[in-house]
Amino acid sequence: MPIFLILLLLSAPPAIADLSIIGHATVPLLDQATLQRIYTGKTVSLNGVRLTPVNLPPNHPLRTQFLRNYLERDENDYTGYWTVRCYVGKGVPPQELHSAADVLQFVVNHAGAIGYVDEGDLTPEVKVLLKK
Amino acid sequence: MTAYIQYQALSLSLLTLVLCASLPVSADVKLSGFGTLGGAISDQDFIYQRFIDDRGTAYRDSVIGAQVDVTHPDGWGFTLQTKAAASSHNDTDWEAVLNWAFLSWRPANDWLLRAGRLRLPLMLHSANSDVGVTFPFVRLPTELYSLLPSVDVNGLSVTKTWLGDTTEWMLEGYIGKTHADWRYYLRDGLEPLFQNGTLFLAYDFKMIGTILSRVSERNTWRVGIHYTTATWDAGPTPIRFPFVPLMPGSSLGYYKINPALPGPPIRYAKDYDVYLFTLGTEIRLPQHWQLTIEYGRRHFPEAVVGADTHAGYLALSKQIGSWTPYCYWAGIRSDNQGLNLAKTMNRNQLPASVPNAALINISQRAGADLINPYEQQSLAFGTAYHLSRTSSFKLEWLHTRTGALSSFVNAPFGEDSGGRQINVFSLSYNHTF
Repeated sequence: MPIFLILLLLSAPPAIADLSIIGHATVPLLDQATLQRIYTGKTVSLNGVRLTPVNLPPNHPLRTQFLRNYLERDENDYTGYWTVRCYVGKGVPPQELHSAADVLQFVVNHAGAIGYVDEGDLTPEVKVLLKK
Repeated sequence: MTAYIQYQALSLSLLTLVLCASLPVSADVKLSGFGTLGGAISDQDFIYQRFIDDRGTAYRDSVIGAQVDVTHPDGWGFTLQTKAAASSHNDTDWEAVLNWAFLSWRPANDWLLRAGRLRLPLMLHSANSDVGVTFPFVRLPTELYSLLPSVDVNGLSVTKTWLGDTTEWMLEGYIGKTHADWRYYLRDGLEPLFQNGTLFLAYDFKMIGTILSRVSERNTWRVGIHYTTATWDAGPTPIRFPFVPLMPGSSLGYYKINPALPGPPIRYAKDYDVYLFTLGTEIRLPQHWQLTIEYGRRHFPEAVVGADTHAGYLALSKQIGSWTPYCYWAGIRSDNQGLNLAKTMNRNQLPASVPNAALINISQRAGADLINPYEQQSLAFGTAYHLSRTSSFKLEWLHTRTGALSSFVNAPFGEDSGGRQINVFSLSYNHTF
């Protein structure tokens, strides 16, 4: 039995990050549908607060997880969606920042900013807007 | 005119630079670009769709462009898009033009205002027609995507959106004007008015219209109504050509195409009124199948012209991994009145015993070409291979059959554009960055 458990543990997929959706103190709490609309450019303000979502670069593990778990899309779908939207003149995708540290700094310093980080990187300056 | 557009492009580019330089730090500047390198060859020695014949061409589908989007967190934005492609003023040059240069404002989630040089969403893919990676076809069906010589206008657009749980409704209204050339091909010259060959007549277009769209996860529907006045640079436009019988009551005679010919006067109008009705849908079916249907009606209520058309296409595609094979049927047909007039005029030949018969006969054929008739159907089979969401290869076989006459064909001297069968093979590489 112990050998079976050890094998089970060894064969388990690597632990994935625990994502939290974070925002500036001015941003109200979100539900998933609203978050999806924000990251697809359909919602630009909430309760009078102008929103500025930010993303991590394509194929970043956190971004991949965010797209899959919160937006329910894969990278191809998401990039394809914004390629069309951009070339029909209806806006541009969220700004991309290099790292989770950049996201944290941006969210702390910009009213209306929204981003996502690993739960382990959370700091008291940011507000958790949504967590699955 | 080209110089004027280049001057405008330069001015707007300078304005963009000034705007970018004076922007607050919080503004986001995004530079993107797109390009298609496309080759097409047919099995015919005459030209089809402006460039394609059995010698092959890269002019028909190749395009390169760049776009700058400046967005400010307050909801203001500025978009500039330029492209270089085959000229829309002649069939020989390559030229750079400004597609978009507009200011946008998103005061709230459900409102979008844009002012400046805009591209109208006339059909489902009109706004992104230069960006090949955004649709699977090698080229959008020319039968439908040639309703107007240009869909880029200087004007104002307002969009109101209603967001439901699963459905999004959008109502867009616009008003604007533009200057563009309408292309004709004359097998025979109409001296001294026009020489034979390709002819580009410049028009001022004033446009107003509205488009209603419904978008959901499974499908997209769009309906549009548009009104345009087209004013010819050279003066009033002919709307009716009188038939001049050689003897009273006789069917032997000619259509008066040239004002110098004897007979009652040609009827002119200050401009053409053009009504456009567009309808389109994309339906996502199970197993990654997609059905696309679009229809466009171009109606000239005053004039009897071949450009008064019904056009549409039906496409079926399926995504299989990185491949998107597709097939479509497309067709265009002039309204009966215009097509019948063009056909009658085209075959109206006076016997040589009539004085000036040769000259009159040439004028009849030139008149048929000037009426711009369309009757053709196309069947295409092709596939896109997606290297990624931003680059793809495409391959297509297109088979076109013309009916009585088709202005997409440059008919050889002394022959007709009707009754033709054309096979076109195309290959393209499409990329965005």
